[in-house]
Amino acid sequence: MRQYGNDVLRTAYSYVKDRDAAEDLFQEVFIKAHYNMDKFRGDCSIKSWLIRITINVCKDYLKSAYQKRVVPMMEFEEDAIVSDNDYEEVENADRNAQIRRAVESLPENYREVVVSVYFNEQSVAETAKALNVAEGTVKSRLSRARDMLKNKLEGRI
Amino acid sequence: MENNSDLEKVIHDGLDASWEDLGISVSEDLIARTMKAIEERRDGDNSLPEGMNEEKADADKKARIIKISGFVKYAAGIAAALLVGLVIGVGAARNGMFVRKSADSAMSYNMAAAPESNYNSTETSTETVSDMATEEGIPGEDNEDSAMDFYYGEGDMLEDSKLRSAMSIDTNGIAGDTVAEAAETGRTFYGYAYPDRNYYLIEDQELEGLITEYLKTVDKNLVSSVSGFANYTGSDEEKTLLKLSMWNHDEQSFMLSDYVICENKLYHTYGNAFSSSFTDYNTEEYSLADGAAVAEQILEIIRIY
Repeated sequence: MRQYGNDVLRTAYSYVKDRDAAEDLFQEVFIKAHYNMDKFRGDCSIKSWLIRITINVCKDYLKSAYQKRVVPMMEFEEDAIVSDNDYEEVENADRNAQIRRAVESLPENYREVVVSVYFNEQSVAETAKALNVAEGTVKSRLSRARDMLKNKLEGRI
Repeated sequence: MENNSDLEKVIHDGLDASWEDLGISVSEDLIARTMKAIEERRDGDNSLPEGMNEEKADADKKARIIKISGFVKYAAGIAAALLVGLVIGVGAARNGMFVRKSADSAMSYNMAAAPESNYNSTETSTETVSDMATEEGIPGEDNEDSAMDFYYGEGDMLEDSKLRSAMSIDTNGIAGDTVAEAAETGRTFYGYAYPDRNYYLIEDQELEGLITEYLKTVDKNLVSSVSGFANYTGSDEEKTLLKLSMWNHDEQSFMLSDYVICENKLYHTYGNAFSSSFTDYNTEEYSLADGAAVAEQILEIIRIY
């Protein structure tokens, strides 16, 4: 939990964009992982397995009736983050927030491959398996997502 | 952002730092709450989410039913066909299914390393399977019409009502294609059985294990061991009480374990059915104190199973 917790929590957050919901999903992932450890076959890393569970749990959550009724707040809290007076830190925080916003603004299909490959450092094959799509699909989505991100971030970072 | 790896690093680091700044990090409190939730959910729905098909498949593998898939299924079907044909053929020959009209047409199976187990039929025999059945107290069946029941299904092999397929195959029509075709249906394939003749062909490792374990406890003494396939080497006077052909397989092998239990003899033939040579089989002959009791006990195991 300590080793891969942030990967799970942040992946969940990238889907639901709500901290409380992400923490609930975090719990759900580790509950399922705990009780299904015997089904882990060892043909991928524990991290990949946890990320797969996370993605599936998040998708189930997003599909749920509750989620259809309640749209999470998508507030950006960068103003709260930037409390340091150090200019460089403020600049870095701003830059990071721009990156996050750029990623968060991607359509889900693109965002999830970016988070999986770039943030969780999963291979294309692992990502394809986790998302239940072909590797070629992951590659093309990644390529499109890269172009979009370059567009969004061009000149800003 | 000159290239993709730069972009990758920028995004990774940017997301990581930004989420850190937002407080999207695992806290000790969250870990404690999760540990508590794990305890509380001991009896809840903890199944893996939909989409984790592999895990489901993995769990399915633990089910008792043996499913044969893809190439293995096909190969197993072919091997089973050959095996069944061989067993039936040898058994039929031994029991006089192949009636020779002329004494000149002696039938001889030359098994190089098993001279004692040669099947010689120099007599003009008119005994048929149906004769054998009658002799064994089984309601007479005409050989031409005698059908072999084909068992396959998702349940217990021996629960006739559940599994006895409408499909039946003429005894004389046990062709490789038929078996392979059946194995390719995608349904669980157990094998053939002549329960009314105490002849069982079993593909079920658990049941095989139970029978094998029981046979280890039986009062028997090894009389001879020969290299070669001979599922039945008893004398003509010996009455066969029970035949079992059991097999299990994987990609590399198709292991046969064939038992014939007579009143005072037990024959065990075993080997790899993928092998092209009969000499890769071994046949062991045991003297048996009480074959009838052994046969009855095995049938009881099968019935209970």
